[in-house]
Amino acid sequence: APDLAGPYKGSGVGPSPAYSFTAAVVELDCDPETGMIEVDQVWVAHDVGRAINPLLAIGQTEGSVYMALGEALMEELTFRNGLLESTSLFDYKSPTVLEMPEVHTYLIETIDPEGPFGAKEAGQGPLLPVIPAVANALYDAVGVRIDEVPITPDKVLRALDLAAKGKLGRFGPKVMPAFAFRAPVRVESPGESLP
Amino acid sequence: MRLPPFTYLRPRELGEACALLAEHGTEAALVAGGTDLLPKLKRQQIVARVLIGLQGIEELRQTRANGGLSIGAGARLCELAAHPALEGPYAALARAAGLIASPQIRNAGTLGGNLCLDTRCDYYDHTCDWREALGGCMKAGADVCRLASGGDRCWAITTSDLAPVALALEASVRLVSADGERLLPLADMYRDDGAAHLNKAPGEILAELVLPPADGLRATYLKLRRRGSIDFPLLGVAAAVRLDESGTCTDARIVLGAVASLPVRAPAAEQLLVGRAFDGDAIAEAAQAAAASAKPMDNTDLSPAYRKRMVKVYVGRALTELGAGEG
Repeated sequence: APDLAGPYKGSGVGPSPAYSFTAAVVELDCDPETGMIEVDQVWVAHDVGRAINPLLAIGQTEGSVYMALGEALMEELTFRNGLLESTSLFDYKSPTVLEMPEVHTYLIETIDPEGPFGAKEAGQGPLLPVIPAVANALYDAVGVRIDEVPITPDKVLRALDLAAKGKLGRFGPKVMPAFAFRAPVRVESPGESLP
Repeated sequence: MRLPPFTYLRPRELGEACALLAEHGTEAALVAGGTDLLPKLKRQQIVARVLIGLQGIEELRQTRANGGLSIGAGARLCELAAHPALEGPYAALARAAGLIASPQIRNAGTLGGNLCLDTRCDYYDHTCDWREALGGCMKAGADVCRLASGGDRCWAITTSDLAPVALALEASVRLVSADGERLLPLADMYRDDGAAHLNKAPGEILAELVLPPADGLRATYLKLRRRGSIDFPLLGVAAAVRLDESGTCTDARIVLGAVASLPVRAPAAEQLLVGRAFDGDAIAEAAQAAAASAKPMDNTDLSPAYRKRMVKVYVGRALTELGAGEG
């Protein structure tokens, strides 16, 4: 486990004594004429360390799947003339009950020595693999890759059009934005700066 | 956001409602289900000090079979979706009703409300503050359209799911006012103007949808939207055909919703169908031609190019469905 105390104490966000892991499989249908995606089933295995309340942990996992599908397929902040266009839950599309597939949840108990009673998280962790699983399932279904979210029907069609013309069936950013990380800032903890 | 204060009037008869509407003029708005009116009042898109409620009027909730079918405008969408009289080609109206919004909204919304449903635009359907930050727009009373700034008209889109089907069924509407009543072909009720999309006078109440006799017609409706519920149509395709015993198409009507400020026919597509066998080739040609009738604007979800492309797909699917159906 990483050291909890050290010269960079206070300057990190996210370090944890223990990390959870999740695997997901997504089964979906894609209509190649419309680009529309229907997710049929999701299998998700989440390493929670220890499930103290399994019902809640399953609920959290299913909720994370829902959030992931929303992010993968339709959620997006859009702008018009510098103003936020998606100003309500009507314009900002989140999936409805009709978009939610059957979810098969497996809680994996590894009893982590760093966690309370061996437990880790079951908050939003299970969300993470579902999004790339959707993208990979789309590739398996129709042979194109969308390199950004949300994976909307028009993007799928644009990629399919490219593939039909013999070009690479891919849509999305071509390069990572050029960004140089600044050197970390060292912040003294209050105890260190007392005279 | 709160509803502004208003006076609520509850007439018991249509004549009384018309008189109240004449009395209060532009200060008043009609309300039945209120599923579109109330959000618009909260966002100050509509200003009304007086609301005239239509729910208590029995006459608006009646259905009469008279060769064809006449349905009172007060019929709720959930009732339309399961209406026993809506069979054969009329079932397309029931299907369209069942695709509107969500179950809760369908429990309140009405036939009349959906036929008269306000047009929508991404630059208009926001709170008062949002619209003011942009400087207002033509539909809100300013003189600039934020979508097409050089233009002189409003491009807000028709969003009714029932209108395209009713038009494909060649419906008329009975409009009633304090001055009398008139029967208007539904096609004459819609105007190509997002800011003034109805030819219904302010004092008129849409009382009844009148459907002519079915007469061997086959009809259907398909709706394009992102989610399985709640969303307005990004495209609506209503198709109706008449076939003779040999399978030749003698009559065709294709009406597109949500691609313009009013529902539009696809005449080139219709002409490609009439007078020939209603087969795969005819359908493919018609679907291709229908896309030419659609010029969607960039003021709603999903790109105009995608929505235009879907016209061909959805018209093709609607016509194929009709070809597979019974006579």
